[in-house]
Amino acid sequence: MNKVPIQETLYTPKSRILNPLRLFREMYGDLFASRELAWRLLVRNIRGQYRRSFLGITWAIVPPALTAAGLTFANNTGVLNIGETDIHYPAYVMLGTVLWQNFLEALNCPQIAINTSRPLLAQVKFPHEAIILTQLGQILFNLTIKLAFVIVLFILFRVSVSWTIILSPIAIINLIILGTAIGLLLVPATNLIQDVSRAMEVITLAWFFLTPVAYPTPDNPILNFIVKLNPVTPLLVTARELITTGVLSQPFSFTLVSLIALIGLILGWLIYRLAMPYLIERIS
Amino acid sequence: MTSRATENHSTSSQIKDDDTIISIQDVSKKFCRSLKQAYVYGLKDIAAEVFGTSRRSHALRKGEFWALKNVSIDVSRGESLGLIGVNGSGKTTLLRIISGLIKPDTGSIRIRGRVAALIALGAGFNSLLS
Repeated sequence: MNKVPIQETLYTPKSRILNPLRLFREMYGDLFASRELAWRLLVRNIRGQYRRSFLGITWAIVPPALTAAGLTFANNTGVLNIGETDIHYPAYVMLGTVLWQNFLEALNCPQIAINTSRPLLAQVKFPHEAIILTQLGQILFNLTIKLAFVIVLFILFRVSVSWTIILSPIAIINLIILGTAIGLLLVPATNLIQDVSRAMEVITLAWFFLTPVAYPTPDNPILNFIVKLNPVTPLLVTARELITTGVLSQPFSFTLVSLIALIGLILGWLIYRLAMPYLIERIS
Repeated sequence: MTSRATENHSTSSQIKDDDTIISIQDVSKKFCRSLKQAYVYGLKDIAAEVFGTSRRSHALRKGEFWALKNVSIDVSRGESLGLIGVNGSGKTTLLRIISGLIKPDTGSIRIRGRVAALIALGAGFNSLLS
């Protein structure tokens, strides 16, 4: 028989960042180790989500559809003056809202993951990447349903799409990465101090209006400046352009924000990992 | 520091070299009764962890108390150990530290092999599906 050395584990009060190589190895290993658990949790969550609901997956579509309907109504009656959009306004605003919600769900993903897994976190040691992966899986699941609805809308309004639509998943995934990165970086604050999570609700509402979701990039210089500073703008606009016109207006900022988002994701992951024992201590 | 499965094929002659499988040395853990204060301390501790500075965990801060103080236990292979104590005496806290859920504030825990902690039943259940 082969002699496999017994695994030895050491727990000390020292910060784990002082041994970065080991930390990164563990992060990498746990990401792989958590795949199966994440999948089981995802199946469990989706089943549980629709078991007590009569309308089922309709609820994934209702919020963006209502937002889009409201904005379309406001635009058609002249309450809101949006101006010309590349495609029919209802399809335009629906697509924008779905993309924005995709970002928003990713932003809230770490907090929701921790909140819904409290009992599990407090009682069992498992790779904590699993609950984040589960949430991301749910986001993709919801997104698929919503995009199916958008496609129906596009067909109804006879909106033509560009061949670049096959590249749009890159932009959509970058939106998820940016959202998850910010969410993970904020994990210690949002989960320990309720004021922060409350503030996030208000901030995301304002953020919605400063992102060209329901309107094209504005001409007004001040608003234009703010909108351009918004990191969501290039990702969302590029995703929309890849789907509809195929002409990219912000390729440079798209690349820049995508890179920053990726770095942010790794940093966020690190912080999430380091913060978890302290969070578990206080949520159990 | 994960308790992932590793096959243990060691022979009996090897076991005699080191019989201790769980070694707890001077482990202490402090908690804070005030919830708000505990959250603020939590943020500070996370910051110290991220930046790699000492969180000076050996000293009590305002409002904190020792839930565990200098606990040392050695568990050998084949040995059974029971923890008995009144509510709130730190039994679960000690088990949580051993299983690696939370970090000790002083001392160290050395574990050979893997820990399968069953701290409470019903973990991971979705009440709608069970």
